[in-house]
Amino acid sequence: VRSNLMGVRYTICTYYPDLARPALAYDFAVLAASPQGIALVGVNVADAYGLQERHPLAKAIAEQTFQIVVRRIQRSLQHPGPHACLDVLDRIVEGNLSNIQYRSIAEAEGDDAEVTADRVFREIRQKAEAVPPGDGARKVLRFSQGLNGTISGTTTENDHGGTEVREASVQSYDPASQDVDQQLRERPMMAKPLVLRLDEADRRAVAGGMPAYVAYGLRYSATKLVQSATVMYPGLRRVGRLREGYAFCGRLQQAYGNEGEAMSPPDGMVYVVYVDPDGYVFDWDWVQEERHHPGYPIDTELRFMGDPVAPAPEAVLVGVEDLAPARPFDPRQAHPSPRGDCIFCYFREEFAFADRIDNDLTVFRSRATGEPTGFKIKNVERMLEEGRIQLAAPDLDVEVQAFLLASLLRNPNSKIEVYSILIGAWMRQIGHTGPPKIRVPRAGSVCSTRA
Amino acid sequence: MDPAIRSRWRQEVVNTEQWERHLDQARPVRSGEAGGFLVHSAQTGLIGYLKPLKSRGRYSRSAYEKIASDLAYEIGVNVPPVVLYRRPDAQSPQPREVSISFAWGGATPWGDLFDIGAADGGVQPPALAALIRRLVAASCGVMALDAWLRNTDRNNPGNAVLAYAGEDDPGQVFYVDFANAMDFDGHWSAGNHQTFQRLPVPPLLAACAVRKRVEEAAQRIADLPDAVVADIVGRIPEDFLAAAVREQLLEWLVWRKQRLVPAWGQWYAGK
Repeated sequence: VRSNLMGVRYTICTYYPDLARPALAYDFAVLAASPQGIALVGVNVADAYGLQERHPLAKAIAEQTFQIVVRRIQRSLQHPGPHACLDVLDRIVEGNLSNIQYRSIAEAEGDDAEVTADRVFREIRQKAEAVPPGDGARKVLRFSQGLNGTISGTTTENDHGGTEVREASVQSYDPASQDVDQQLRERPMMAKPLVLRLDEADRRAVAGGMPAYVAYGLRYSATKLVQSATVMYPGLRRVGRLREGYAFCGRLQQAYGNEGEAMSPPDGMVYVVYVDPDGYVFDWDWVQEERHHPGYPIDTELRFMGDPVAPAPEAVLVGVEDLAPARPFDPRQAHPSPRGDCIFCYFREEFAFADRIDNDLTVFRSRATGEPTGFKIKNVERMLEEGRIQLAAPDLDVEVQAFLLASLLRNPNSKIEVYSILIGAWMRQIGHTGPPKIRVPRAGSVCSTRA
Repeated sequence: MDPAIRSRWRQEVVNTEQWERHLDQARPVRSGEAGGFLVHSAQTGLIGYLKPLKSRGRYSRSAYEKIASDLAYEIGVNVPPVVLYRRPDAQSPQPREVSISFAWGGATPWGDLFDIGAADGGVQPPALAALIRRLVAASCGVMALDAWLRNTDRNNPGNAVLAYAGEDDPGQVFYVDFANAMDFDGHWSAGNHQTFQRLPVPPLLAACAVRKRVEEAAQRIADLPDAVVADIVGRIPEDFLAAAVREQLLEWLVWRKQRLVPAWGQWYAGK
């Protein structure tokens, strides 16, 4: 049953280089339909993302993603129904065994398909910031439905490799002078961006009880930052697999709060995104900026093992464009990250920045008051290996408090007051009957249990 | 594709693994004639294409897909392996009894990349055009299968898939969708099962077809033991295809199998 809302319906067209590995995906176009018309706004993946497929068939697809959707529209238009333009959208997405897929159909207010497609595509591009400058690759396809049910348009350009675009308008888009466009024009174009992802365990944690601003920070801020980082630092730890990890650092124009709303960034802060050796993002924080070194965080010699790489390599973070909190904030929950070898705990949902205490502990502090809102314990695996956390047997639940105290033992120069304040604040939470626990399975990686 | 997987799916009738929606694919408000979506097995990680999302009375689409796939396996024609599946999460009026076709990491409908209505496919550049012609020519045995099964829907931009498993796999054309074949429209029930006809064939396929390959495929069909056809049709469960319909279908298929080669001039549309 079609929705009674007679607005615009749209879907985001996505290219998956390998359907068996869905974490790698590229949104390349928005297809929108209203009762009056259809519009497609997008790019070709190969142009926009610098994607260089080696297989000749994959290469042909990546170079023609926009045109392929155009062909599908044309085919669907051969049998228009009573609601021709809306029917086309349904028909295109209903059956599709292809590397080009469609995200769930959404509805938008208004009655102009092109306006909606254009707006949504701009949002995608602002998140990805992956369209190279001066490419002119952004294309707009419009069809409009007349009162008699016919669908027509004007052809102003044939850009489809021998396939005539019948009764349609395809033209190069004239980019508006938005900030993001300006930034893109100023960026050097890289041959192939580094593709970053989010591990499923971390995705569940982010959406499953962490403060909402953490999820929105990843979705909006981290995706932007990795595209525009000032510097990249290799070497997140002295030993272990994260020795091969790396971090992107830089300034951002906006931060995002618990409703996903944009706001000004914290004063004197840069954003840092931490990535493991396999390209999985596992942490992202606002961190105090080095006063005389714009775009760089403080204490880089303590935080990172390697030399800075500036400008940072271009990267794109994929698979988080739809990320949103699925559950309310839960202060009783601890959130281990096997990828990041760390445990996150939050006892308040206030927007916060990260304050590094020592090698094993980072405190999250409220932007408004500076009071602790949570903390992160690092080097969890090493604490276990060193026997700092004594396990009577595997598969036991271990209180996170034990990890906190273990980190104090490992860092005797740190102030004990910090730990005391954290534990006290944590225990004062309403309905908090005991500290969260972490289950340590035989394999060694940790998982969360609720107190 | 992996022969072991193909063989296993050929042997299997109803798969009992847990199949879950694979991607955030759009869920149309109004599912179409043969809509489906990608799924993956929680147990094996393999991906497949699940369909249909709409029932069609006594002529089971899913049973048709399974029968066509198994027959294609026996005669060496490129049709993806298919298993039957009972969807635990089917929302009425969607059918619970569906089929799952094996899917590859790389796949694109042939109509996405070229014009199947043109003999040369309208493909640029030349290297890609040559590759496409080779792939289509290598798979042209499907014309014999289509004639046997009276598949009326081959001239469809979505009913063949260019599939490749990785950079080292040059790719193959696999033919999909046998929903509009056999007695889907009651044509055979109306007494026409002995009729062979020149079915709609895309000009690209007709132009690339190698007569000898199609002849060989037709001969393999003729040589296929009746017992194999009987087993393939007869093992379809009752909830997918009623016994009486199975028996009738088997009778028609065996008759047509024997008459396919002599009727060559009536159905072959190639050069």
